[in-house]
Amino acid sequence: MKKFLALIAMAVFSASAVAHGPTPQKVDDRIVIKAEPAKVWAMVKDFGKAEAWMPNVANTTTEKKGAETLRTLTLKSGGKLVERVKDVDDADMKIKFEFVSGGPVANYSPYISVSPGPNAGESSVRYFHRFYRFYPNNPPIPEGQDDASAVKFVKDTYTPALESLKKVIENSK
Amino acid sequence: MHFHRRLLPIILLVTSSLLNACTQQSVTLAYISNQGDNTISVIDTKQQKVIDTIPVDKAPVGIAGSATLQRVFVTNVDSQNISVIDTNSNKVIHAIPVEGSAVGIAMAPNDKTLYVADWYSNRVLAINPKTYAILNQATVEQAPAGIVVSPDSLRLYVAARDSNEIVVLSTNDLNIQYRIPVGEHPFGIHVSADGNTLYSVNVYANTVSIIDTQSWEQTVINVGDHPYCAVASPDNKTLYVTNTLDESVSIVDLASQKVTATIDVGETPEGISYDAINHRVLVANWGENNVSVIDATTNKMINRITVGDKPRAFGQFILNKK
Repeated sequence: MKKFLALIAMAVFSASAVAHGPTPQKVDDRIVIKAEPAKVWAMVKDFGKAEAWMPNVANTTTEKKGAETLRTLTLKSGGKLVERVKDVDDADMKIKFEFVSGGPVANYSPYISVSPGPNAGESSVRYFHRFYRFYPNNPPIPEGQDDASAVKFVKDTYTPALESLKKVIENSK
Repeated sequence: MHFHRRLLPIILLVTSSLLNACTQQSVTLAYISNQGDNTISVIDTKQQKVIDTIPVDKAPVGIAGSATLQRVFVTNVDSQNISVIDTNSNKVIHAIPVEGSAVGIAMAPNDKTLYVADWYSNRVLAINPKTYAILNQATVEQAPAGIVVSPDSLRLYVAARDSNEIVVLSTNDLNIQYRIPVGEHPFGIHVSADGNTLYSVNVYANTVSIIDTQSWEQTVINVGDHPYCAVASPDNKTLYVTNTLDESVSIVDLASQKVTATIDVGETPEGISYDAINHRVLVANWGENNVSVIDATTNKMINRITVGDKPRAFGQFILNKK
């Protein structure tokens, strides 16, 4: 039954690119890693191997659709998240995604950036998420589609990733 | 001439209050809506610092003001109302209920009418800014977002976000005169000081449409990722466009209609207004809780001013206080 519900949720929560609610939400995760930026960036930009550092991802598949690149993160919990890879910028060490489906969010374009510092031999990583709740209209808002549900989904799914990235990189000498 | 010793302090006092009155006349204030903490940060743009923080209702987004009426109006989208701020006291003196989702808001330059766009109900309302009476309303499809009034107060321009058009209404009767197709997902909208040029910022197309308001001829230029809002310098030589997903502002030379520079501002820049007194451009950085100050003579960022949580500042948010 649980799996069945998860499938329904996935079918329903296919992010619409057009309509969205009036109040954007933000999750702005940052961490400092004791490693050279080039090393951190090499792992972050390798978007087809998210399971290497995202602790709740079981595996990643990528697919080219014309000029677009899509990746699907299969979660250990069984869900699937589809993201479009918008841009991989080696000069700025920044990768941009656009969320396609898999969670109660809309108009969601996260990015990850790596920059040197604060000290020599360290990297600052930022995982920035701007998104809207899934339900685009005025109250009453259906259960699970409000601002709080959207924030919870993003935090539960992505916030553990930076801690894990730090551990994986600092432990791989 | 010989002043009596007792009169001298009085004369000095009078002179000093006259001077104060003169200084006050030149105060330029930016009213920044902080959607995350339900406040307005008031910035003295010359001093470049926050001088007041005004609590409003839930999720303030749109801003419009009138120096003559000494009022600023704020759309609170989650409270379904508009806060009226007295700019002398910087206190909320009234809330105008607006059912639906009021976001875009604009004051007619003649100070007679306030216009509000309700994007879920596909309507635009005309409100008397003194009595708060709703004077008229019109259906404008689909999802009216940014709105602006022509300098002669005769036309209202509305970005119809979900139908990819600019809708032109007559302010007399709110009848629709024209529908101008633009790029995908127009949001911010701006009109030049002479009224001859309209700018539509097309979010999903990553473009700005430069539209002649007589012939409706249009030039489309590419800007950064997910642009949101634009403002032109008062001489209409330069256009400034916020690119929300590039953390930057595109600077467009309007004679050649080319992007001549892109400057880094802060995270997720949204609302943008021009301070004509100090020749600066102010940009609300939603993702970084600050306002970038750009020197419009050098087009360099000169400062960042910390404001409240998730600033939007959607609309013409700078007031030259009289």
